[in-house]
This record gives sequence, structure tokens and C-alpha cells, in this order.
Amino acid sequence: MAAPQNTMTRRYEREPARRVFAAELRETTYQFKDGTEEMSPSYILLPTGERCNRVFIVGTITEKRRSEGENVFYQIRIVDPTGTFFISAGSYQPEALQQLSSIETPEFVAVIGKPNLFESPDGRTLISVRAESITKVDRSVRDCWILDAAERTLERIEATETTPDRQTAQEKYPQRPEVWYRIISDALATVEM
Amino acid sequence: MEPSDVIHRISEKFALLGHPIDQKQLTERLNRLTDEFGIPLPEAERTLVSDFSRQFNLPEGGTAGKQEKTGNSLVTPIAGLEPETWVTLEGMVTVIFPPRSPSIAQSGILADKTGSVRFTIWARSNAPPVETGKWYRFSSAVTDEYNGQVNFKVHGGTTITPLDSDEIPADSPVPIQDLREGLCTVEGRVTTLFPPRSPSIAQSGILADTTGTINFTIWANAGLQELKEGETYQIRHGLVDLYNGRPGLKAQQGTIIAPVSDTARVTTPVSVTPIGSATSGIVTLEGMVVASSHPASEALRQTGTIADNSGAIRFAIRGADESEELKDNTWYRIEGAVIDQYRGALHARITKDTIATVISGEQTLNPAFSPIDQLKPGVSCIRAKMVQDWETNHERMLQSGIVGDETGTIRFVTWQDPQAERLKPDTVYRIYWAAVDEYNGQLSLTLSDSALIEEPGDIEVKSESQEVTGALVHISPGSGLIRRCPVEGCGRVLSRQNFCQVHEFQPEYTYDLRIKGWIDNGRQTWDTIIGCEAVLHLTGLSIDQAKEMAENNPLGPETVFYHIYEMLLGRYFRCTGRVIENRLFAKGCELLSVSQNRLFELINRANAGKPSENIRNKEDSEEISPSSDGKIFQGNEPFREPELHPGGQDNNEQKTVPAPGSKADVGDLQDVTDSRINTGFSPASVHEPMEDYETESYDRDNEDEWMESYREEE
Repeated sequence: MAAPQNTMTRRYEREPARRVFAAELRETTYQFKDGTEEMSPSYILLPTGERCNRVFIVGTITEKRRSEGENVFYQIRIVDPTGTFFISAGSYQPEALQQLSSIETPEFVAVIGKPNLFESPDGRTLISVRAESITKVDRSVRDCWILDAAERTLERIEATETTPDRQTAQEKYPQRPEVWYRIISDALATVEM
Repeated sequence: MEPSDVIHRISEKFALLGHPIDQKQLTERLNRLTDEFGIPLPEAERTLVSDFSRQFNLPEGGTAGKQEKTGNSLVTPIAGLEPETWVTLEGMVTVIFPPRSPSIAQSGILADKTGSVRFTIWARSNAPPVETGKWYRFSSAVTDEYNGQVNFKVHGGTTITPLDSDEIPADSPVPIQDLREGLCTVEGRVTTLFPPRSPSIAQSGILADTTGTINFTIWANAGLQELKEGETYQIRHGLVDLYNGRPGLKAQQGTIIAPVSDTARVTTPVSVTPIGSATSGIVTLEGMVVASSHPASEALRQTGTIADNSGAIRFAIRGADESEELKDNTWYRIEGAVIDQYRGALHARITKDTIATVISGEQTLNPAFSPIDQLKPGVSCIRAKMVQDWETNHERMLQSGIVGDETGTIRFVTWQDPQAERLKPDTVYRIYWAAVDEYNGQLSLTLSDSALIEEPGDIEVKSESQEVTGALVHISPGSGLIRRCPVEGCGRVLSRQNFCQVHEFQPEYTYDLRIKGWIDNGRQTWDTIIGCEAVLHLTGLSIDQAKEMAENNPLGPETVFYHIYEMLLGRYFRCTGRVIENRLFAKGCELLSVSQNRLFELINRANAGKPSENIRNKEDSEEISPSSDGKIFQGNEPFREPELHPGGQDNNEQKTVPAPGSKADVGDLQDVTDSRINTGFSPASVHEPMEDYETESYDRDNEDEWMESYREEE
């Protein structure tokens, strides 16, 4: 068939925002591109074996720093029961900047953003999330998120089907499901009924 | 650790630095963090110390750790290489690159049957030069990593030995469907040769056996004999690599190609494969040509569909082949068709070695209809009702929309063609030989070449009202208070100037409230529209209130947008409505709250996987316990983190490496401690070194590394 069927009729698919506890995101050290072109999407590979180019996080903002200088730029810390997320927002994330200006610490917030790996001069890999949006939420949203993140993480560690991503994760990361189980269990224990 | 310890430690620390802190204020702030916001105590302490440090303009400091690995082994398969190890490798040099620098004697690629790897031979190593197409053993080379790819270096301590012919691994031919990356031996028939593309390529085309097909390339500098279409060859030490996820076979220096004797050649199977159970490779089919067309492209002479009672398959005849075209509504026996896979669907190539003979006599075709929920890429017949007619967005498109049956719905498209016909809404059709395509995991039907037969009666299309649960992760422009065209049956959204695309200026618009955005459950996303009633319910607004909001604010309707944005973005919802592919039209929406049952279920699931508790090793614990001074100082590091440049773009940010001694550098160690404290990867949590997670005895490496960085700091 000569008709350009696939380019003209496909619908935009949005990559799901992964639910990841801080403890897992902080252990992530492998990043790759899906494709060889410059604009190919870039993913991080979670230690539990799933690719991720967007995360959804709910936690407590404990610190907010505005950069000094001409460009407005924020660095913030968001804490979940398992650890800390490092989040940034600059002039390329106008929605997030606007929301941030009216958020004080501490406060429950929901963040949607893109994770990125950096290498420090000594070769250590660091991870930070560039926020696309950040909104003030309440404790019930945070509790929902802990359940959500717990369930998705359990699904990832309990998955039995072999995928290329899972195989790569097995090569790149020490596999220690018992640690994730413990972290999930501890995180769930912070949800009050 | 108790909150009182933390309070004591913080006040002491800052008192010593000449900044006494009010105990009551400190206690309140700590309680707020831990109780109200559920922040773990160590993190709360860190937050407070950081806040106070900044308040008093106190400095920050620290250092970071490092990694090193050594090891050695016997011969390592290339696929198993890890960076920064000592290895011995055996393989064939497949490429040598021109030297880039005087310090490099040679660089190139070494391959074995598990894969290939880049190498660099340092000039200082004084190693004898290697040649392409020859086999060598590299003893005591060192692997390295560059751009995420492992490579290896030949230095003074590495020995390079050419392999004797009896040391070169012999391998027997592998069926094409089992080929993996690396060197291989394969036997197949050249079914297609492509026109020459580049002077560096001698020949390229498709090689097939009865198990599958693979594209091959013969490099001009390989000095190999010319292959002929239709002949069978053995290709020894060819290199299989992946390009865009598809394997390809490369013949280069060192590759040996020999024609295969008549007895061993790949023959066309005599027995007929039912089309419905055909797989990749060379086959014999019998079926009727049910549709055919002449594509605009010169590369293809004819494409179409051939069917038997088990199924149907798309076929193609290349322009370059001399094969005769197939006639519509005629039965053929097709010997030696080459089936391969493209985007999940099988296609049959009729090559010039394919023999198509007309089968005479009465033959009837009784195709089976497939339920929509069981469609696979390829060609299928369905019985379905047209349920949605979409506006087409492309001039070559005749129609697009949704058809459905009792089992589900699927999108369809019909391209402009003199024979193509439109489907009528709410009408049931028998659709013969629709092409089922897959893109991004979504199926769709192309009806351009299908036969459509209208049928009386009705189908109860599977109810589309579904429930979707997830977080609202994006709110798009066009959400909030909108104005619609009042013309009967139109209802299009008006522009700011109250212009309708079709009915032009409409001053008497009607108001509506909606949210356009994305609902996301972490595995799947829905392009979502939340309708007016649900928005009113979620926001507690009325249309009049929203109007008032828009009218009485300088930002106008944007005020309503941001009101909704702040109120609903990042929240969890349960939506009910129609779902078509990844679109959700939500009529009802509820905010989600924590379900106790789900919580208990998850707790049980998590506990079931936890290791047993008492593996504690007391000696180890004490050995690595940091001194108390160090603990306090380190645990209270103020804010630091991977520092980005203000306003940096994606690619800038990625490459930014903070200068040593900058805040990010400081942050490093803390980063490590943070994650360790909270994940239990190290027992050496700064403030409660031996209480919480110290039973993790399975991760000694991490502990040692952590301690090393810790000592360096001291």
C-alpha cells in the first residue's frame, strides 16, 4: 500500500509517568536513547526494570531555593517516606515556575517531571527531575500516591515476563527485590487509616 | 532515635556556632515536619539544619566517593563484557579504523559469535599490527566504557596471538530465525538483490531459508564473489548486527561465502502451507487473489491480498522482478513465495524465482470472520457496525472512524481510490480482507482494498462505558470556560473572537466547562476530556460562577483555567465514560481516596516478599559505626544537589558538570547517605547507625564504598 497510513493517522501516545519511590529513583544510574536520532526520546532505566521518561511524584516539599542571577531557576527537595527527590524548574518550565512561586515549605505537592542523569566530576551518577508542573495537594493525595507507587513498584519487581528492559536492568543493577519489598512495606506503614 | 535527641543535637550545633535557637520553636517545627507531613526523622533534621544554616549564612562542605573494579578471567564472550575489567578475548577483527591520534596504533572492531566490541591498541604497547578478517586472542586487555558502550584497550601488558586455523571456532549453519548478534554461519537462498546504493557496498538483498528471512550487505572491500538471485550460499563468519531493532547480516573481510551443492540447497517446500499458519521463510501457498492494485511507487509492480480458507496475506511483486502479475479472483499455486514480517504483519514476496501457476477448476472461498478483540496485524475479515465517523484530516483520506462488534471497537481508515467506498453510520457490514496494521501497539484497519457488503440487522457493539482510574497529569489549553457555536448540531468551540470554523462570527455563543488533559495510571495514559457536569461536580463551581470569575478578573477566562489547574492537577480520579483507543470522554469523575482494603492488600503483598529479620552481625555493625562528631556534622549538611544551570536547555543541562568544590560536589556524599539512610542499602545511617536497616548483610560492597567516602571526608 502506497498510502502514508502510519504517519497521517496515528494518534499521539503519551508516555506514562512512572510511580517511583525516591529510594528507587536515587539508585538509577543508566540512561539510554530509544533510537539513534538526535530527537529520539531519552529514558532512564529503573533498577526494577522499566524504562521511564516521566515521573509522577507526590511528597513534601522541604526546601525551595531560587537561583541568584538573571534567569529564574528553582531547586527543590521533595521527601517521600523512602528518601528525597531533587527537583528543578527553570524558564523552560513556565507552568512549574509560576506554581512554585506561591508554594512555601513544608507543603504536600504533586510533581510531574522528566528525570535526568548527571555525572559528577568524580564519575558518580546523580539524578534530578525537571518539573513540568507542581501543584499543592493534601495528605489524602499523598496517601493515594504511596499506594499507587507501592503497587506499581510491586508489579515491576514481581513481573515474570522477560523484556529487553528487564534484561538490561539485570545487567546494570544488582537485583535485590527483598530491599524493595522492605522499602514498600515501610512506606505503606506511613499511611494512616 | 528520638525527636528530643534531634532537638538537642540541632540546638547544640548552632549554639556552638554562636546562634542559639529557641527550643520551643525548634520543637514545633520538627513536629510539624514529622507529624503533619510524615517526613522521616533524619530527613526532618537535615531540613531544619539546612534551613537554619541558610538563615545564619553558615557554609556547607563535603566530598565524594569513587568506584574501582578489577578482575580477570579466561576467554570472555564479547556479549558478557563489563567495563573496567581485565579480560582475555578471542574473535575476528572485522573493521580497522584510520588512526585518529599518534598515541593510537590501531583501532577497530573485534567480533565473536556472541557480539562485537570496539578496541584500541595504544602505540606504546608495541603490539604487532592486526589485520581485518583474521582471528586473534587478546590476553590481559582492559575494558572501558564510552558513551554507554563497552570497549577494550591493548596496552603494554596485553599479548595478541593470531589463532591457528584449528583454534578458530567451527560452527554449523544456524536457521535464520535463530540468528543473534555476533559472528555466525548461515545458509540461505538469495531471494532478492537490491539495486546498488553505494560504492562501499558490493551487493545487498534478502537471504531466506524455510525458517525466515534476513537482509544482507556485502561490503565492496570484502573482495567476495558476486551472488546470484535464486542461488543458495553458505556464509561463514558473517556478522549479524541490529539496525533499528532489526537484525542484518554483513559480509566483510574474513567472511567466507561458498555456493551450496545441489543436494544441500534450500529448496522450496512441496507441501502447501495454509496461509493462516504461515510464518517467515520460503513457502508454497495456494489461494485466491482477492484484491490487487498498482502502487504509485516504481519499486513495486503490484500489491494485493491472497486468501485461502485459513486466512489471507498481503503480497507484493517488485518492479525490478520480471515476474508476471497476478490476476484478481484467480486461484494460484505459489511455490517459493518469501514471507517476512514488517510491523508485526506478514507479507509474501513474489520473486522471480517464485513460480505462480493458475489452478483451474471450481474452488470456493469461505473466509472466517474474526472478532475484533482477536485481530492481529495482517489481513482479516470482520463483521462490524460503523459507530463513529470522524472528520478527516488528510486530503488523501476518504474516511476514518470507528467500527465495532460485540467484542470491541477498532479505528478504520479508507484512502482515496476510485473503487473505495464510504461506510454509512450505524450500518452493519461484512468487511472482507481488511488490512490490520499495528502502530505503537495500536491496531487499525485499512479498508481501501477490502470488499464491503452491507448487511441488514444490527450489532450490539460492546458497551464503551468504562471506568478509568488514574492521576490527572496534564491540563491542556482549551480547558476551563469555553464558548461554543450555538448553531444546531454544531457546538464547535469558538475562537477568542467568537469565530466558528464553519459558521463564522457567532455573538450569541453558549458557555461550557470542560477539562482537556491526560489521565495516567503509571502504565497507560488516556487523552481525556472531562465533561461539564463532572467539572462542576469536582470544582463545586456553577457555570454562572465561572462566568463571573472570567468577567471580573483581568486575566479573563484564564482565571477559570488556573483555578481548575490548581484545584485538580496531580489528583487521583475515578472517571466513567467512553473509551476509544486511548481517548477517554469522561461523563462522571470522583476524587479518589485511600481504600483500606487496598492498603492492607498491598501491605501483605510487600511483607510476603521481605527477607527474614534477624541476620544481624554485631561485629560488622560496630566496625563501621562512624564517630559521633562526624555523624552530626555530616548528617546536617545543608542543601546541595546535582546543580543545573539556570534556564539551561535539555542538552545543556545534561552535559553540565559542576566544578569540583561546587555545591553539587558537596551534595554528592549527602546524596549517597540520603539514599542509604532511607533505602537500607547501608547500615551506616548517619544518626541511627545501627538501628534501622543494619540487618542488610547482602550488600557489603556498598557499605565499604560508603565508608571509604566517609573517611575521606574526615
